[in-house]
Amino acid sequence: MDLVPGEIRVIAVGSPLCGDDGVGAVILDQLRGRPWPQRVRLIDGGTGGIDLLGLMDGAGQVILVDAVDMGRAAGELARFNLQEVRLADENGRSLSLHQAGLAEVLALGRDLGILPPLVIFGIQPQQVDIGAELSPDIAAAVQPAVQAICAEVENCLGI
Amino acid sequence: MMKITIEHLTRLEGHGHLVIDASNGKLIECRLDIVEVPRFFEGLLQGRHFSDVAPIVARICGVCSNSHSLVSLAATEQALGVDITDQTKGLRTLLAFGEILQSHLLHLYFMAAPDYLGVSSLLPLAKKRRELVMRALRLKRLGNEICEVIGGRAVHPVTLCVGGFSSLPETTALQNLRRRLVDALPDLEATVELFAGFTIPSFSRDTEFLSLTAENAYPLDGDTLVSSDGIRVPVAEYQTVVEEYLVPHSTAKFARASRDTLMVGPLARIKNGLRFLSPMGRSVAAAVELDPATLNPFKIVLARLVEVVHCVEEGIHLIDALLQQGLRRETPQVMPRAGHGAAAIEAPRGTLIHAYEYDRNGCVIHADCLIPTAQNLANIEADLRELIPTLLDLPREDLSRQLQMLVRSYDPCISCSTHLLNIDFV
Repeated sequence: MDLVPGEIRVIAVGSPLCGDDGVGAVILDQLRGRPWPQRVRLIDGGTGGIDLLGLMDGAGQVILVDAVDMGRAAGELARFNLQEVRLADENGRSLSLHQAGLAEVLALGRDLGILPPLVIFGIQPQQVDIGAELSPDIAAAVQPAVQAICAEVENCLGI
Repeated sequence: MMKITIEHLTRLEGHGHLVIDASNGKLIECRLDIVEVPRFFEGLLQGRHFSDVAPIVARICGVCSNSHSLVSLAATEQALGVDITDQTKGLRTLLAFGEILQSHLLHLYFMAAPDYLGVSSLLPLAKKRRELVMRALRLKRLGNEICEVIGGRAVHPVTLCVGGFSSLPETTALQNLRRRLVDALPDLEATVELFAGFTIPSFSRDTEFLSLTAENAYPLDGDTLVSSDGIRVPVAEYQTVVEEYLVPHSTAKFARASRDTLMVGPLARIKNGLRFLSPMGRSVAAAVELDPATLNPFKIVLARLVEVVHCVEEGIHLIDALLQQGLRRETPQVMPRAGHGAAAIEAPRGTLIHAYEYDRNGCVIHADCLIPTAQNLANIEADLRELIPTLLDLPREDLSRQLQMLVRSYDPCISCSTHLLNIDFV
């Protein structure tokens, strides 16, 4: 993937085969239906693990989109940055690099000092069981999330 | 009386538990519980058109999706009587190298190195040994780049098709890739230095080592299986030498060949194909004391290191050859027909075999996949059974650490190995 330094990257994370974990991919599809200037890049980060660090490398701004269990009502959308969340255990005990979770990857990137400016849009999932369908509450949250992310990108572009 | 249960072994691909029961210096029980849900891929393939088969089997595994795709295409091409060109062979080999690099480098730095550096993961080293972690990330990305250029993306390739490729890499992309491989040599040198400095636990147990034959080149693909116990059969006859069987504590099958245990993977390949390693690969093998007599499973980690060096060096030569010939657009002609095909590839973790039977419409009647980790599971348990009694005087934490290192050295891909099985839970 030819990534251009300084661009704004919207990176969706999660598996479309694990229920509401696929919400990022659905949002990304909706975003793809809109016209964007060249310096906005939409990326399916899949279940990327540490490869996410490569996808973020050199970006001017990253907007991550993922299903995040925040203990809130299903479908609730939250915008937060790195300083607002506790990432992995300092000694890395929770880090099994097989399915390195987003928190561990971000902690690694933070400690290496290689993370670009970053905001995270988290959507509270209801279920992440095997299956390609979103729960109704999460499907209903897609449009508001798309609007919020568009506003964020426009803000980054200075529109 | 001592009972140790290590639930959810970390730093390996998938989910397994280790259960050990020992008393008065004697081992009573030792099981590697494989607890992932079976995934029934072979059943899923029945009735599928030949063009769908490789993309489906790629999903068996996110770590070795390219190997599953490549071996699947080879089996289908054999069944349908399709010949592939040297250009296709070259590009597919390069893709296989890319995947070995992705998988081995992930293992070396993110799974194995923490054990030898006395940390639980690379995360605590991000500040203290930043250069090492950055090198790990750079190298890991190198494998991804090869797979992206040849396969269209880092996992689950999209450019492969029965008979060849649906899309070829740009010449400039191959040139850039070559530059990246050459630029990675200092990082590789530092990696060799790092691993050569590790104290590998001393332990050895003889077993049967199986791989594809190495008659003209280092084992990668081919049509003959060979083993240290004298097996030499065509891949198509694999079921006559490798027997899969079920054990109650595992959702993955176990396997055996001439004796109770069998090892496939980097160490088996090096034992069978040492003389075909690239010059740099050979000198690294000598530096870390790997040779055909090596029986220490902890040294599989070093065998992986040697293969990384080999794949980078051979990859550079292969790109040169492809660039020199110039890539030509090819349009493979594939007609459905009834037939049977069995093919093998040396995946990162060892010999991977797919066999398919097609009906006259080119749809799958029957499919069988023999997975490297399934072949290694009985061997891992046998190693543990022999190793544990020698370690019972150690503090529990040290014992547990060393056992986990042993399991990890095989880099078992549990997700891959558990798709095979119809199981009755008792």
